[in-house]
Amino acid sequence: MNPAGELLIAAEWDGLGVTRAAARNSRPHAAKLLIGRSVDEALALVPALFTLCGKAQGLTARAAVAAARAEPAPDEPARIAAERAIAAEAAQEHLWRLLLDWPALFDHEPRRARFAELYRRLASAGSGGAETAREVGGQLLDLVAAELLSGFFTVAREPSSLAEFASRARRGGTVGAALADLLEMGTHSPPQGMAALLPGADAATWAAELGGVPDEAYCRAPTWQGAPAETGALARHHGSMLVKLLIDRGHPVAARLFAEVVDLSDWASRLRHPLANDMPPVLDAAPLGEAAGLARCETARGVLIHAVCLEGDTIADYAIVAPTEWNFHPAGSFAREGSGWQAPDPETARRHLTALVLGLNPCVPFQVNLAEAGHA
Amino acid sequence: MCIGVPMQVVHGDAVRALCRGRDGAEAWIDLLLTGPQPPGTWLLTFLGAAREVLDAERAARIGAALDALGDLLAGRSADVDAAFADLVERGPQLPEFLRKAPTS
Repeated sequence: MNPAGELLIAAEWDGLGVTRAAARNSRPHAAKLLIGRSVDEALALVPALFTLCGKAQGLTARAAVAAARAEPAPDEPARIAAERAIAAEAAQEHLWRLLLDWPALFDHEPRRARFAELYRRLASAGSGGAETAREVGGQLLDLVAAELLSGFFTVAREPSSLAEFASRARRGGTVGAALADLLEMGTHSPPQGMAALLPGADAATWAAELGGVPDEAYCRAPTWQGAPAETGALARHHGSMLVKLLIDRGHPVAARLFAEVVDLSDWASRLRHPLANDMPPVLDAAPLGEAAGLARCETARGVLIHAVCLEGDTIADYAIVAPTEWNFHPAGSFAREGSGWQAPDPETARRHLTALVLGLNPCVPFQVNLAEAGHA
Repeated sequence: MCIGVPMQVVHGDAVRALCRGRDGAEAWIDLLLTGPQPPGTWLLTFLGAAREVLDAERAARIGAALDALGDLLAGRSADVDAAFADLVERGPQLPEFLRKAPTS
């Protein structure tokens, strides 16, 4: 059994479109490993387990424990360092998708050298000083303006049609070309409508919503006010003019790709100006009852929640609610948008399904298995 | 919740290496982010690519954490304490010559 888990997509194409698509998510409920351990052991274990998002996971775990112990909030230098580390990690994850995965899906050359160069600089920026972070933040903004979205910066008005949107996107390098290809695949308004988008809520609001450390069933299929919701770049940027235009014109998958580029700009801004007044905190925490605390952290893939209950110096209960479980909830965004749309051939169907999964940005390896009706 | 897997380089070239996991499974790993690595080097891998170079101690710690997670998933009662015996970051220790209190 793969301890890291995986996401298996099983879909069926009937000659006209995809009639059925289901996601099986075997991502492990790793928080169980923390229960019964001392706080120090648990805090050491978290970054060892979640090595690829270790900064966000480790800092969120510490913040949740601090809230449970009613410790004062970290001072400003510590909060600045935390925001830079989380922003650098988030930008790395977005670059992986934007420069490697999305171009490859549409047979465009992945930007491997550019990706490697920026990834390494972000690794040093996350643990380095203010100057390094400002510099790499500027490089990311340049990347967005000059290489990803250049076609949208040269004309003041918004595109008047999807054809014009695609044409402008193509002026933006391989990511723009992938976006244009996605648009030209056609409209895919989900017949059941899109899932709700998770609102930006602070840790105190989350603590009030959850009322205590959530159980494993909640962590596997989380809900906001009783309903599934989508988290991630689209939830954060659905109000952005061009993202909204894509949603309104029936292109939620393209909207997610565009929102990811906008989101990369936000993380770049956080690297340059952490704790800015016009942006919500990336990480905060709140008490969750007696000897319990909750921390909320924004990550590239969406909101990450850690909730902990202590008995002295021992972890009595622990829960992690991660973005993948929101977006691949049995009644969530993938379930609503994965089926019920037209595709002229299996290859187009597979590509569209893969784009949907990429846009929902799972944190585990995924595989799309498409069967033709009658051959499943 | 991105979980990377430590693998050790068996042999390779400038762009990829055949790597072996702690369970003996082998896979070709992209070295875009790390550059070429000599045999024996531990790499943190995810989706067929090396994310970073690990020292042997960190590779063992991550491996132990994944073993325990695998046991948990398989329904086995993982010997978590044994798996993580050396995992906890101990506080910094004073050098020997500073540990004794001054006698005068």
